[in-house]
Amino acid sequence: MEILLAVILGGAFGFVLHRIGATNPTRLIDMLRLSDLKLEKVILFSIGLTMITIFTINTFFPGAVHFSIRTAYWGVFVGGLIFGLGFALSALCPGTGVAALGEGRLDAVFYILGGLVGTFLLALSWDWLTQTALFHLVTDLGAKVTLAEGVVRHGREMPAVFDSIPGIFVALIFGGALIALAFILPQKLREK
Amino acid sequence: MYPKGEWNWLKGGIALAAVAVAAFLLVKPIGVSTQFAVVDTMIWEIIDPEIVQVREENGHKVYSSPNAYINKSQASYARAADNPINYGLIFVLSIIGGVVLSVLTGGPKPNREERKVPEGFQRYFGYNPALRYTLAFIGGVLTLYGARLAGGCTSGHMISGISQTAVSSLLFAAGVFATAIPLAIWLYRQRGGNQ
Repeated sequence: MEILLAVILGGAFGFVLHRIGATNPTRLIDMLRLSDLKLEKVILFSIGLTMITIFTINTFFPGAVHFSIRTAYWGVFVGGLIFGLGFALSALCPGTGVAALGEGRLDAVFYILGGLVGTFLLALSWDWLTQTALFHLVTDLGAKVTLAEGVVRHGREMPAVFDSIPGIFVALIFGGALIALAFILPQKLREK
Repeated sequence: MYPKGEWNWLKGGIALAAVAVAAFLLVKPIGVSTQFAVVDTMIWEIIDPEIVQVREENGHKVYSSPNAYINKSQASYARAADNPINYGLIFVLSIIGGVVLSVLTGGPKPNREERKVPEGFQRYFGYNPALRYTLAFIGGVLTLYGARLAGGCTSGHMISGISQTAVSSLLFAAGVFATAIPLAIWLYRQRGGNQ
């Protein structure tokens, strides 16, 4: 059953990535150099809508949403900085790189091979990395911190930055702001 | 010019949210980059079978690995590598099938030249497959090193993570755009000698 869901959800994810143009490196180049903001709009809108939807469902049907929060250590930020360099160089990311194989893009093959090498290098350096300050937590609230409260996994609630306001309100304000931004952003900020 | 057949941003945004919400309700949040670690473990195991260790304990298979990264979280990558028909890997492989379906049903179709060097790349560097492949490869190395250090990529951290208002994912997004936007603006610029 879970494998069938993997095929359906993975297939749907690939289908949508392709239809929004995210498998096209030209779109990612224009997204990053701010010369076509379509993908910014898609991503801001979909994150906002997903946030509001899952926190609404979580309010009325606790336990229905399978939350999975990642730990906030400094390596997440540094990893993001490194990721950003590769993102600009390749104009692909792990999801769109795999997806781009489906429309026969040859550069995506090189991207995937690079990705396997990058993961291997990370595996070799992991032992050393975990002993550095990169793995110190960002906040003393805890490891898996959220902004909105009410995020429960395996019966335990995650620590929240705004723990005195109902999570649904935080989601409505934050998610609403992302959706508004998607509408407000112009088509482009720079010329190609 | 973008190939014809794309949805507009609003329709695309609603569709992407629908898939993300379905994943949250039915199984678990969308994520991709973990599977690079799983596939790496499979390849590594072919070269050096010692990298995945299995022993029986009270009728359960217990996995471990001499490599600290593969060994983390009860060696979950080693377990997945030895059981390839698992949700995460099938999800990622199915992404390719979904794109094929989209291409066959009226989605964007890149032509032969575009499949080697995307139009946006040609704009700034001309038709140069070797340079495009080299940058794609180096970009692959850096994005996956960064994603696995951060514990997620654009899918897991941004779409899934920010939707859950995870602080770690906001931190990841801040890091990504802090380097990606300036580098892209510098790299993809009109050069004097170019056409």
